[in-house]
Amino acid sequence: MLLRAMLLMLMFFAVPVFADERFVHVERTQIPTRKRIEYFGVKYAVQWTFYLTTQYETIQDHGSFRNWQKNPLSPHFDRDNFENNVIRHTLAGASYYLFYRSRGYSESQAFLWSNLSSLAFEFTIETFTERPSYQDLALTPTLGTVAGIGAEKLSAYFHEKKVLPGRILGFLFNPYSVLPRASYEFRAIPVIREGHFGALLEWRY
Amino acid sequence: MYGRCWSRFCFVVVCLCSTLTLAQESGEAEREVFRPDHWARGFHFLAASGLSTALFNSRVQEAELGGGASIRMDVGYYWTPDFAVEIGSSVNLNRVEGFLIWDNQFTLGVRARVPRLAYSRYGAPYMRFFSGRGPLIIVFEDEAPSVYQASGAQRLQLEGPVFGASIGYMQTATTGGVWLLELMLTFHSFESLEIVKSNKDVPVVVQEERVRDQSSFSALHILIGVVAF
Repeated sequence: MLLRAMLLMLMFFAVPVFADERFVHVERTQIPTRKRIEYFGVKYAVQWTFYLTTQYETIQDHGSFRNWQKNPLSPHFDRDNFENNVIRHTLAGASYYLFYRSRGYSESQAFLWSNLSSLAFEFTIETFTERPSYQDLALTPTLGTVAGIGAEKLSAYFHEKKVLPGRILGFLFNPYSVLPRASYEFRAIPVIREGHFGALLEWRY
Repeated sequence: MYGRCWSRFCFVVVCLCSTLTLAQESGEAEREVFRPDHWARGFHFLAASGLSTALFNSRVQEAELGGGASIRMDVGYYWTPDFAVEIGSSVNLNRVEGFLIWDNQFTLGVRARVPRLAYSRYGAPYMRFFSGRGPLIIVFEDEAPSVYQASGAQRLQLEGPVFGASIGYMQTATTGGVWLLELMLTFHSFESLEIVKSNKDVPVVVQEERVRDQSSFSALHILIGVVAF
């Protein structure tokens, strides 16, 4: 116990001199199916909430249960403007990607589950008011993943600064890094310099 | 009518099943390092962006659209170390005299390493062929041309098949990631035209017609990208 405490003290003082601190994503190798369904369900509930609150007027003017049953069978190229098709859907895709990353998914799995969330939105939520769109299906997860990868790296860069403005920017670029049990952590990585000897130590906290 | 519905329904089922299968497989597959000379089996995501130059052509006019920007994403399943099947999407933007030309392409294609060309562990050339469909949107930024003013049109949406080919070079960076440089040629022809205006946020098709003047949009792109995963 005493030895551990002493080592911990030593490490604490060694960090600024011999180690770099990195804000890293921690990938979970095995995510149980029950958890996968839970994460997907949480995202799906958020999608419904977002849709009902932001599209209230459109739903009242154009929405119906008949659309909801009929529209999933007739996807098409929509006529939406650039802001809606490229900007808003990219942001939605990035939010899906970052959510799944924060739950410990690898980059490829986060992309695939973003795809599933996007399919669920297009075929079971938005169909209240409109037909599923090929542009949305293709661009939401792909452009979203590109934006999400960038946002995650920027967020990590700012978190590593370990100053309040940096931390705020870190949370702004990746709001999911603030969630409880988010798969991100600070990790001390030893700095290896030429001509120096020493022991390699790594710890997580 | 029922035939179209069924084909669309099949599209939905294929989308769902392939995504679920890939999700399952990617969770279980052992990871192999993706190298330019030996593509790791499994699915990979490539993203690239760059510059383009485009030409709008029809039986009655030819317009040089000048420079633009493009971004392309490809999700591919890499069957062998030198062959992949890919679903790609791209967005290309050109601005000409008060118009914004916004071209979307959604394609299915193949990627193969160029055979019998010298390559090393760190760099290798490849080629791609793809075909698909997509809309091209002409946004009137200032005021609409006189023929469309009466209808209150804000943009035109043309739709039709897309064909393309590209040649590129993949290289491993010193940091370990794989980068790519690609020269891509695309040809987008049009079958239908819709005149669109917006009612609040909802787009309304004012008029719809067949395109009979053999209009097409050809573009040459130079792209720089990465193998994201």
